[in-house]
Amino acid sequence: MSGMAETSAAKSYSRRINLRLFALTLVILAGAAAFASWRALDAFERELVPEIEQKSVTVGQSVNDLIERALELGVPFGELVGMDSFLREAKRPHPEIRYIAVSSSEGGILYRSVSSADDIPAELADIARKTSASGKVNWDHLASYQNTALPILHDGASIGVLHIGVDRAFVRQTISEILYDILVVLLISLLVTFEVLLIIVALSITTPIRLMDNVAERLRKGDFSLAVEHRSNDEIGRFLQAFNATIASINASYDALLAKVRAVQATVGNRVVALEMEQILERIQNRFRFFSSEGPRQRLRETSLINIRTPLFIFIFAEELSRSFFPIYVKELYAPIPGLTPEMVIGLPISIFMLMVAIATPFAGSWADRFGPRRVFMIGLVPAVIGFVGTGLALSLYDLLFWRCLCAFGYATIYIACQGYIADNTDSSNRAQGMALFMGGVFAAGICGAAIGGILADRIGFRLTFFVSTALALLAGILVVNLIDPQVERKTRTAKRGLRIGDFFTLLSNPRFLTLILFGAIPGKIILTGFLFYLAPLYLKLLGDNQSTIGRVLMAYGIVTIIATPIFAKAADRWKAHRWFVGFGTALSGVGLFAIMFQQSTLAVLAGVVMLGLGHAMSISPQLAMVPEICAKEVAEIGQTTVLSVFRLIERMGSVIGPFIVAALIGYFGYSGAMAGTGILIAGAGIGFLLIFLAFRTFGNAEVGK
Amino acid sequence: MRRLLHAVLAAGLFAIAPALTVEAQERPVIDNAGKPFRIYMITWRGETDTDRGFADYLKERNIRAELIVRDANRDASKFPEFVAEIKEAKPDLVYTWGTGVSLAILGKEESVDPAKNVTGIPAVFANVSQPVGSGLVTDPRSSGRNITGSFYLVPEEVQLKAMAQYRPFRKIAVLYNEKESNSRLAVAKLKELSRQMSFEILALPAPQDDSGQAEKESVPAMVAQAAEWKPDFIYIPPDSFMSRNRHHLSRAALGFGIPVFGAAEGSLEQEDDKPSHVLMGLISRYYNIGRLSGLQAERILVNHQRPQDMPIEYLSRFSLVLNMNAADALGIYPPMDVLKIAEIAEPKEDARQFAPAGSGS
Repeated sequence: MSGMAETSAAKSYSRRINLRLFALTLVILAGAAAFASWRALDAFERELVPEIEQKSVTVGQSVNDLIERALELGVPFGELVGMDSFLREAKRPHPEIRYIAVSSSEGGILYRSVSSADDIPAELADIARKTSASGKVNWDHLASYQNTALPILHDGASIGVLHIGVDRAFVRQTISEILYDILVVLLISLLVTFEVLLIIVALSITTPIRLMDNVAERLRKGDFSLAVEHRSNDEIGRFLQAFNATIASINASYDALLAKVRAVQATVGNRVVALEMEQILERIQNRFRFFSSEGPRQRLRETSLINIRTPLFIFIFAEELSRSFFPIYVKELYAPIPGLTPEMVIGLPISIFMLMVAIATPFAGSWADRFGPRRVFMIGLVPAVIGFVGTGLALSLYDLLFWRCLCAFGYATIYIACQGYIADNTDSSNRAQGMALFMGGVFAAGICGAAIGGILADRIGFRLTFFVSTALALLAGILVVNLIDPQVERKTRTAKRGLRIGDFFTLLSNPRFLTLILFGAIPGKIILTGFLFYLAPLYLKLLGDNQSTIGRVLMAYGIVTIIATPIFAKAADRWKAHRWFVGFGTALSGVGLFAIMFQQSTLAVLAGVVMLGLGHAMSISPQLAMVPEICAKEVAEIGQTTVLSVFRLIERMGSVIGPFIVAALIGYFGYSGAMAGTGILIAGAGIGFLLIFLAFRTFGNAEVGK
Repeated sequence: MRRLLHAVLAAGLFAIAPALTVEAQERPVIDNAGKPFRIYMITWRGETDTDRGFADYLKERNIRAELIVRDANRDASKFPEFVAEIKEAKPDLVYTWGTGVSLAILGKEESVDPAKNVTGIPAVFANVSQPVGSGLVTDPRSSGRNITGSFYLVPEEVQLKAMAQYRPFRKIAVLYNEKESNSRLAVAKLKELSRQMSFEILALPAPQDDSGQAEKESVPAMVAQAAEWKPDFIYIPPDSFMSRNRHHLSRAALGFGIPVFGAAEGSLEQEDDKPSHVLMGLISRYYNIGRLSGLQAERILVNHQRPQDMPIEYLSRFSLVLNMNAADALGIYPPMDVLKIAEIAEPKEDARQFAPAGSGS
């Protein structure tokens, strides 16, 4: 692929068709899904209320049975003994039942058990008379309660009424809980549809059109040596066949011409004529290029970047499924480790995972160079699958650590394989776009994984969710086998320069690089693993949230970053204000966690997560953009790739220590204290970053800028 | 070809068949190497529900047993004869009913006499109110010898808690016959508990006639004497004399409006000539005790456990018996929580006729 495709009409056509198709599909899908969800919610509301009423009847019936037995045994209705404790015990297992009361058939309350914040509604007297007269169960929607009234029968007549009041807020809350789940599924089905559309449109429409455009452009310049590689039997496929056939016939004519010339040259034997003919031929060959018995023969093929995005999306999705419950799962397997506080032990598997990723990445990088993305993806898949199964079956914390190491190794390898694929199939003109496509898949998978994982964990439990991960990882492998071409071992490629210890010293002696690492990159990772991956799930669980809710809260991070990152990245580029974005973004991500000081609630954690997303959207891309800016000398010396690798590697240490730092804070200040404390640390780092760079500017260092 | 197929199918069925029949069958019959287990049952006053519970349990468990029943018919002089017969017949297990029979056949722990008692054969005792107090065993965790059994009496503490659940009390009058060791032990235990649980206790022994027997004519007077003290409950220990006079006692108590609690099944029994107006009791049902004895027999005979390794056990579930007729006459109705778990006694006569006018409903 060359830069000229950028400017061609076909490029804009494929972009337009993509845009229109996606917009239209998403509008239709969103509309349909919203309608279906609304209908489902409506049906659910109709189903839930009778369900609650039925439960009230069941509870009430068991209370009534004993009251009626007492009456039958001769205890007068007005002299039932121990009703307070009896009603209280009947109510206790059902927190949504706020009162149980027994009234006479005229409505006077004789016995009652009422939850502390509640009161017997005044309407009960009317209800009692109505129920007593009809002798049947009555349901009434009161202002704040759903009242179920059962007649108490004695000698065939109704002598009193039992009232059970269910909090209507409970009904509303249950419905809104389901509503959130429906919305999450809706959003995720949109994202998944988007992923599927991407690959289908890319494979069957945009890629062949772009290829044809590319070949046509070459034809215009007289290059007939290429054909389009495409196999499909649809309209586009048939058109391309005809297109290729035309090129082939031109080439055939040229070949025939060439043969004739050679024959003539051989028979004529006149050197002057032969030379003349050779010169004519040369002129033709200079103007045009053909594939012939003497020339190159090749077919132009384009490997769409989407081919790797889909398997990557599925694999990351599998890994992210456990995001919302992983520390809680670890807590269940807790076993003490000498020298570590319980909180640190719970954070340990996350840290080990991050450490393993950091260690495995350089290896994976060198393999990717040698074996090609397809094989490296499959190499990574083996430990990942074993790791998922092992994590799901883990017997103790100790073997869990081992399984997580395997997962981390697989994760790092597959991540690098996909990145390598993007690098192989892009050039400097479109690599940034390629990486955006890559990161888009990672973020989308993060959003879907956290939310769906939470819902799954609520329904089928933690352990089975890991088996879902296993199945997804295998699916990703199947896609890679089918979508990515095997690659011959690359020997021609110059061996990449490996990382050396000296590189670290070189870079770390650059004060700007050091500042970026210590006050920008590492704090960013600390808050990500320490707060988002470790503290938030545990804290939300402590607040009594179910896994679905925890998943939804964590999902907010992905949604915010996926929306805001491109906007901030463009703004930072336009204003050339990368360092301001890094500083403010880091500070912002920390400030969000202060919310917990005002309100210890799910909402405050959500606010922290959203602000963290915004902060990262502001700071992460500008951080990478800053590296070549502030390390111009080092880039010249050891190469940009090496500089970025060192940056990444050091940055990952932040991921490793994140859970430990937060765990230590929990030990001293408790959960909400730790959340606020982490916020102060990170916000402080962001402000420190800004101050130091302001100071650099004041001293006017020549190295600033490119 | 088809024939071959059939042969294969048939072979398959034969292979599965034994598994199917085992599955369908109940527990296999358990016996003593082809012969039934021989169990000698010594009873005191004819067949009771205990014996029926014992036999039913063995039957349900498919344990084949030959039950050789010997009834003393309230005659202690027959005991040596039984001991001799058991020693001669050498059964697999001995079952003894009641404190008297058990002490005579098995002997007190500290004075077992191989000449007078059965020692070489494992034994299970039932309906012994006070296995420890009577000296049959000293440590309920193990008899230290070839016998085991069950507590018949519900622990006094549990009884008092059930009473308090019905109605909080501060004063309890105990009417008993000093001649009976079970009653004396119960009174001693209640006195001990009165200090721990801080309530007052009045223990009234029955007056005796010239021959040293408790006078049944004195029962109404005893109730009147107790009533003057204004107790919250009258308590009847596992006392044969008081149980026999339960109608006199409970009618008189109704007259004073005092509820009566019975510690054993005897005082709660309803008979046409001896109706009971005891308000409540917390007891071990004879039938359930019998089943527990059956379980202990199974462990010894089938599982080959040594009796000395088996602790003396309580029932896991006691029976709370309520007399609603008396409750109504007294106007003291049971709390719902008590009613929920209670067994209701069938009255033989209307209690209200004995209650003072104006009480009850």
